[in-house]
Amino acid sequence: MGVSRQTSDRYRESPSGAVRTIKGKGSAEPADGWLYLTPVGTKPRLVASNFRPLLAKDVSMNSSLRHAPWVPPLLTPLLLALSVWTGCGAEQGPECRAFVACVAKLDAVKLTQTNVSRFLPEGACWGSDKSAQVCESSCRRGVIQLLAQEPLLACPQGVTP
Amino acid sequence: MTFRKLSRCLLFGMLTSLLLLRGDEAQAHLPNILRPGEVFQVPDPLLSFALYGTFSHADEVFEVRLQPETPLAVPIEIMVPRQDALTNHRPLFAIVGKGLPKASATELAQLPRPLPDGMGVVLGRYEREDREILFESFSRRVLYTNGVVAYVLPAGDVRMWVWSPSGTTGKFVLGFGVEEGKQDFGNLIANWGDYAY
Repeated sequence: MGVSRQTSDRYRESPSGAVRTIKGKGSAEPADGWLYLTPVGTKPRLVASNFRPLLAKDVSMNSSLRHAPWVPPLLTPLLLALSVWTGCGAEQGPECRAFVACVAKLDAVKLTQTNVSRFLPEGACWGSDKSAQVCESSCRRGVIQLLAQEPLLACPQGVTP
Repeated sequence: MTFRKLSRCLLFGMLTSLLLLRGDEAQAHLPNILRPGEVFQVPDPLLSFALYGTFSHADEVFEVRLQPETPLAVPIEIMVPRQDALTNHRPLFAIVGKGLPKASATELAQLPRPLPDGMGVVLGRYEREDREILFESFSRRVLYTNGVVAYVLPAGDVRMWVWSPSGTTGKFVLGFGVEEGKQDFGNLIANWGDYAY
């Protein structure tokens, strides 16, 4: 879609024009075994865990790659694409846990079964840190919205009142 | 193969793989154009959409319809390009459907149209006076947002109306859902004038 909220940075602008970031938890921390690309806007550079540059000798150490020289340009990008495709993002956040619980209470009152699949632990919200940030914001406000709609619901308002 | 050459191969291969692997699914995530007076029917409310529109006149109303099979929790927000000319451009949206709260007199007065019989309404609001801003890296644009909220839409006939209560004109984007990670670059390039500013 045109607006990619999983790749969006959000911040606020005060009436005076001053800006402060309201980014969520850090997303640039390396995890061993994963490959990273440098941020958009900088010169692309493939790095390995602990940000050690990936060297030709790393590839040549792998015998299967050494015996099939056509593999690195095809298989490695494929694996990278798959890792992006399948998502290796965040975990369900506390605001959305609270929201899902609140919706469950609403369902109990209305005898409905709301589809909250986006917000569940395996949902689309947690495909990346950016989408997780969007979902957490939406869930925090979502609980407030639900309480405004159904004042009799007893829902805690997550972690950020 | 030098490191630089390898890096180029990897990047090219990765981009090619992404396009080839995801070309079919990207169709479900077309950024769409809203036109005043026309109803945009959301084909699958379980997917995410960015719906682009432009107020040319103060009294225009944009309408989106969807038919969730069960009640559906979904993040929704309305965005405006961050431009000096649009500082005061704050379109509103209303979610209209059966099972939603009855409209108060104040809300009825705000709505651009009479409510259909038996339907309730939830009004999208601006969370705060200072405007939240997001950088949208797909179209590389900065947008004002009213603040994304997870709404529970009722099952059945659900309508969303977008209008400009203060009569301002200009572009807006109605964001529906959360990005599942599939994007249609071809459509973006082909219709750049609609999406960019």
